[in-house]
Amino acid sequence: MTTSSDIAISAEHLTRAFRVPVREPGLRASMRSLIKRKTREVRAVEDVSFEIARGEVVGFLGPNGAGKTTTLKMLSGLMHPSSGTARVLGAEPARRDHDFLRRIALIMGQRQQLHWDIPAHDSFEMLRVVYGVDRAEYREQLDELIELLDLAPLIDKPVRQLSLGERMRCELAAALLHRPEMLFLDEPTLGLDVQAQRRVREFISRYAARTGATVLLTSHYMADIEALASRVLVIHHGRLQFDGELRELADRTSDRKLVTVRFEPGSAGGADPSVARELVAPFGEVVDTDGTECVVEVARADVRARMTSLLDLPGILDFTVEDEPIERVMERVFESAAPEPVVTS
Amino acid sequence: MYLVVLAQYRANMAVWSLASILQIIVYMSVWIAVADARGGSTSGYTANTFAGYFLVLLIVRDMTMTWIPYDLPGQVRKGDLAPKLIRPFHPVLMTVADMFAFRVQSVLTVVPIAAVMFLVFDARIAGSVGAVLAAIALIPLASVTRALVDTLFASTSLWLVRIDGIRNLYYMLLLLLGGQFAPLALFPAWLQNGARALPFYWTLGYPTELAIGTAPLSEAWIGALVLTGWALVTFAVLQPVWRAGIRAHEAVGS
Amino acid sequence: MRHVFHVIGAHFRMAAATELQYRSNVWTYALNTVITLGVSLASLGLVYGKVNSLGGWSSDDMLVVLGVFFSLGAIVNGVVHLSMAKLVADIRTGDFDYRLLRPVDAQMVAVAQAPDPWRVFDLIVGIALIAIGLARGGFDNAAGGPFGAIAAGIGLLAVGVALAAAFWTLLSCVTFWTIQGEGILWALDDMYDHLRWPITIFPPGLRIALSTVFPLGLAVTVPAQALTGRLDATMAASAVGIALMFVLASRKVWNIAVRRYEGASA
Repeated sequence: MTTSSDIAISAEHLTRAFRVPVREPGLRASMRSLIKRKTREVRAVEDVSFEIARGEVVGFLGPNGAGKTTTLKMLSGLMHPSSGTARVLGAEPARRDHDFLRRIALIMGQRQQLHWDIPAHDSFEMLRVVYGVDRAEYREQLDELIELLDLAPLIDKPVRQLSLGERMRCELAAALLHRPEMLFLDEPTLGLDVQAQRRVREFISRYAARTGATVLLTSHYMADIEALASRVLVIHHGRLQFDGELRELADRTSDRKLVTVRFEPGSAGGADPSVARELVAPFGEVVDTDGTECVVEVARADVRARMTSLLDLPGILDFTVEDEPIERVMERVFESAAPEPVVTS
Repeated sequence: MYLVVLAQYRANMAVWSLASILQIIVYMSVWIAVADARGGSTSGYTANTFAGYFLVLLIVRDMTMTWIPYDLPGQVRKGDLAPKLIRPFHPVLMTVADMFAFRVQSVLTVVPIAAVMFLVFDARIAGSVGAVLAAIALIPLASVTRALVDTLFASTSLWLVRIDGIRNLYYMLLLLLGGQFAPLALFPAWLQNGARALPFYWTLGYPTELAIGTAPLSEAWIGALVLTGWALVTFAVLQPVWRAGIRAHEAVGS
Repeated sequence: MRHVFHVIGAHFRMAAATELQYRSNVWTYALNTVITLGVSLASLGLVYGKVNSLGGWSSDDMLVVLGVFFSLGAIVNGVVHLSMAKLVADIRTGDFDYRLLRPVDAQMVAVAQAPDPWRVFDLIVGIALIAIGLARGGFDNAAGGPFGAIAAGIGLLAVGVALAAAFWTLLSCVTFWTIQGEGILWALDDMYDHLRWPITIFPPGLRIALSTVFPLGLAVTVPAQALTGRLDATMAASAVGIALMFVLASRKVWNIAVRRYEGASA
């Protein structure tokens, strides 16, 4: 039973609607629109409710335009909800009280708050003043972050000379100088190369574990969520579709397994991929062939039954049964949700 | 979309016109105050004829000025120039086209306002109808010359990209030596000669003085000659300068 | 309140650090200031070559007016205007989100976040002109003597700064949201250039326009009046009142603009 002080975020029936102008093509319509603007209402977020306890690392998952960033903005204080309430760390975020703002941090992928022309160090100092961090504490925190993120060679060069990945690490440091209790991360790995993405994920994970900070991140990269969040909230078409463990989601929605069959190099299946496909086709849908391997999608219910027959295939070396990658699970989850509710005015 | 752009233009033009009018009224008021302090007139201008001078200048200026010193560096800075260079006409001609639209709007807005102020400030001009017509006839020539001089100046942005500083200087020269701050008659002789040696006065102060009668109509042909001369000279100098500038611009890449 | 000024100070330090990288700029800016000063003095020379006093203002008094013009200009053109341009750019890219979430008054920081440090030349010139003008012309009949005049002058200059900042905030928010183009702001910026003259010499219509619709005229005139000992209580009071109105209005418009910003980004 969580007490109220353990709850970091409480969202109740959060809804956010936008009025979007409707402009039809053509001169007549443009002229008409000068006099009377036609708008339609778009519900970016509809009736979303959940609770997040302190110290949790939670991922918001959903395709682009699903409403995850809008929800994040409502929780961080960047946007007023159209209806419903949000309480973060006991405060109403949209009021943007300075005390509240000092306890949170926002990091957005592909956007930066560091000044372009000067070394990161100078931007850090400015942020120190903004957040009112005492020099000794600042020094301590900065040293820690420099170590954790390996920033020593980076912070004395003008930010424009850094690579995207390096800049992101400096941005992370900038956001954490004031030791926030609550981190909002919006697509933090967007645009980064694979190695940089890994570094960012590792850092966030370690930082959260060390400091007990509550972390909320949005991403459409499954890898981010898998690596960082035990709990995931799936948002699609503005509605909360799922709230629970990632594993549970995968189990619930995945009704198939991937079987990778390996053939002996000398055998007919091993030598010719099209032969391999033919051999394996009766078991399910062939997904991929690669050298002596062939991957086939088999309905979960059928796996046990089919496996013995599989062993009878000529030239088979071995096979492995795996879960579907979460990516594919998610793709199907997103495709199947209800169409966007639109209200015209 | 087009209408949105048009609306933006309208607003821009409206503000330019406003700024234009403000400047004229400010300087006019200063000199009217001087004339009053001198007991009626100074250097041959009374409060009424000062008003006449400045209000005519307002129209002359709106009819001859261009935004090239702003547009061109803006295009250079944003890297918009390259695609425009491929087209079969010079990039500044687009600004020139804008100026036509602006001048049409000016005629509809600034001229009536100037007319009202004529009455309010009890302005007088001594030019004959012929003189006024001659001045009007000179305006197209003056605007061509002005456009060429503006382009020559603005081409420095092909090298320097940011020319805010020297643009300031350029407009100051236009202000003082063009006869915008005060009619040339108020300058000491040496400065008057200096101003006459440059093109600025001939595109601004001269047509104005022609219209208000302080420059003799019989010598209007000299004015036309000088303007044509400056136009040709500037055009000639512009060719190699522009080419060199484009090369420098391309060398840097956008 | 102190916090806001500390933050603004930090921004100023950062701007100085940035600009000092480009030392060649010093000469461009210094030259610019010298040229503007030269033209201003030339215009004054032309006028005072014909008269000794214009609307009660002697040539030395005019130097003081010019000095206030330069000083206020350093702040208006060198700080507020550029900062507003940066604000608009941040709004376009969405980086403004970061600004909103900082524990400091976003509007006050926005007004002063991108100063042009080289404008300090303008400020130096302004103060020098004021000093020279006062040294030559004296404080006339300033109530409270020289110190009173200077104190009143500085106070009213501060009022002028607040007025200018509020005016530009208002204008930037309105033009951005209605017309989506800031070319207008440059034109208005140029208008400041014509305010080297005390508005008392202008006809009533112009005087009122430069006190209300484009109040920077009042912002220049009133401190100059205080410094030269011709403080007009009515004008000074109007200046304070108008400044207050603009500050309140700009606050309101700012809040509306922020709400619209929220609504525009998904």
